[in-house]
Amino acid sequence: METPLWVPLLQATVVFTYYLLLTALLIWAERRVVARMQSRLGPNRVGPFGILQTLVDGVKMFFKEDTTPGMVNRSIFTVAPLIGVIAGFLSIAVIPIGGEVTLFGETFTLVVADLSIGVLWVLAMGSIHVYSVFLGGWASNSPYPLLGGIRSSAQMVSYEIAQGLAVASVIIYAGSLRVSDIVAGQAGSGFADGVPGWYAIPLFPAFMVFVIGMVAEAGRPPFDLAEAEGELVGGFNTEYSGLRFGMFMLAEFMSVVTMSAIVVTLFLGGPSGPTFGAPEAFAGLIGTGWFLLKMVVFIFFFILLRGALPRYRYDRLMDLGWKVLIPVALVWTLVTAAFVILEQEQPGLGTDLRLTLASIAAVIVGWLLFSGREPRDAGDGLDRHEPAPGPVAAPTTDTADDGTTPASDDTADDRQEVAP
Amino acid sequence: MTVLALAAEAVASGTSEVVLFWVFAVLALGAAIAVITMRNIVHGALMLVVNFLAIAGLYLTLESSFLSIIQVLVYAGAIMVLFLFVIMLLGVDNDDLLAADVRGRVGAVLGGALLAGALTFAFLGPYTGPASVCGPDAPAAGFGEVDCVGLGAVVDEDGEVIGGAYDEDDASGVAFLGRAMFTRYTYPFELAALLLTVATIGAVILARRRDLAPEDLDDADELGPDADGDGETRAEVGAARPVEPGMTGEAGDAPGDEPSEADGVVDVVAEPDDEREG
Repeated sequence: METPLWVPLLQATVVFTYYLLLTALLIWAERRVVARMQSRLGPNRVGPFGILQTLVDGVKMFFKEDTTPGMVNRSIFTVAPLIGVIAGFLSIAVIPIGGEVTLFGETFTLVVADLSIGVLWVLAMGSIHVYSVFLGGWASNSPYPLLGGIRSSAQMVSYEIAQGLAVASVIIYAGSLRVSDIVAGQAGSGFADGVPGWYAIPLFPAFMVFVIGMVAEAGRPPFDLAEAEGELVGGFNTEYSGLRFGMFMLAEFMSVVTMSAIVVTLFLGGPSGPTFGAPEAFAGLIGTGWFLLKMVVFIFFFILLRGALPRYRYDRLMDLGWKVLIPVALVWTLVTAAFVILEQEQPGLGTDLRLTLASIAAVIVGWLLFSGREPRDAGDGLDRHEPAPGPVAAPTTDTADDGTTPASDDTADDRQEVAP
Repeated sequence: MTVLALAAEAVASGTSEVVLFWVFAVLALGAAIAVITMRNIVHGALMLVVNFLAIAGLYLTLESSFLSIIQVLVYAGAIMVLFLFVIMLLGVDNDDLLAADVRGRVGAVLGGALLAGALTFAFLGPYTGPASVCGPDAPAAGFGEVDCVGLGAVVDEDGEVIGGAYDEDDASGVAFLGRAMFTRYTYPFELAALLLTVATIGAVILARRRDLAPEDLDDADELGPDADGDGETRAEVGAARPVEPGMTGEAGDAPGDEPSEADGVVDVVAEPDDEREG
């Protein structure tokens, strides 16, 4: 049957508006919540509880003078923020925001395009997003933005690997790259009645890796080293102003929303959830409600992180990404693959057995990670200059590097600043 | 409505494929030429990204969405980012690149012409020309044979299709590709993986500095052990940095690499190390 033109148009419009609205609300909510955490009021003038603050800020940003410093590389300087926003919007195209909706005799899902390689599309757009930050930093032709851009691109590329591996275990478990298949695979009950069939449960380590990775990928505190305002002025966007600065901000905040949508879709069942026996026509809407609810939980998680944690130090960030997250994700991808093969070879493998295997695997992963990590300098393969035993031992060598307090020496940063 | 109807008609008649082919082909070629003609090296690298994206578009017109997205993900998204990373970190001067000597240019032109000729011959001659085994009129593959290109059907004795053909459930060809890669092409696949591993290990080993260069020791006197105040002594920074992953080997040695942190080392810390080794 031919789909009428208004269906894809409606899908695109609804999805676009949905994410744009959520982003605006996120900015407001973040300012309110962080203010609350810091015994301040936050925006409270425009609209009830200041909810329209983002709107007026947007208008201000739009009409502000947009200066282009003389030393910048003009074309790239202009293109960089656009790349971020476009990649951000494109990445959500494959994420369904609700179940099936029937409208005027047409049944469709609220998703722009259910691509056969949907999950990879998300990852690909994420990797295109790196260009935005990177080129923005480089084109500014100025030291701090360059440092910010380099930091963030290294960070994003590193965490992309861990995230990609975490997604790989989802793909292997679901047996499909199509987002709708992944959502369908999580519907209903999982191991036991009443326990949702979310992939977060059998793939818990991958889920954790993805959640940590997405915070880094979105460049959010405590991993916001790209802009580290205490050290790099504003990071990659220091030289930007007006609308183009606004686009960077939009891209950053939107990545929080899209990352929440992605983690909910891949690990927490997306729009699936109990429909309380609602008629078919409304079931899809209830799904939208579930999806929104799960997303809000993650958005709130992002905000709380920002309010609660000090910024990570750069080398710690890299250590976490490469020495913890990637091994965990890698091992869990293999474990998942082994499970899937076992299931194929021995169908009807008992749930108990699977649970046991999963626990054993988890223990092994945990042991591999955390055993032998205590004498950090000795075991991590780095060629550190340890003081030689004996009289020449240096008085001032190792002060803070005991591996126990990852972020303790960075608490002085100004974390009061919220949104532009 | 009319636009969509037109598009549907174009798809049905196959013209859209032709149109898209020309759009992407021109884009890819134009970007490729721009890569070597751009005076600014970063612009050139970005043109290479455009080229990669256009090639991904070409894959799409061939209905290989998986290959297309992998092209974006791996080449445009990862490899080029690292390229740009190195260009920016090393601060490659445009003059260095443009100042190729005459001999180099002649060699480049000759090599390029040779490569282009070989490719043209290969594509137009034995593989796709009318006289080739795989020409447009080539018969479909039978048992024990494989279609010349693409995801052609693999047929068993009875003429049943056992794999490889386009099937609805595997529209992107991922399952087919995966099966082929891990069964029929296991050794090439493993060899490629080994090659990458060797390259990675090599880069790490090359980038590992056992001793710091003498010029790195100079400015240590004016700076305290922990001049940047991050609780980490300079020796640690200097030692840890080169093996820092994500910024492959070249990055660690870069002169422009966060000068405030990477360039200094403390005598006090370096000396014991020397004694221990000596």
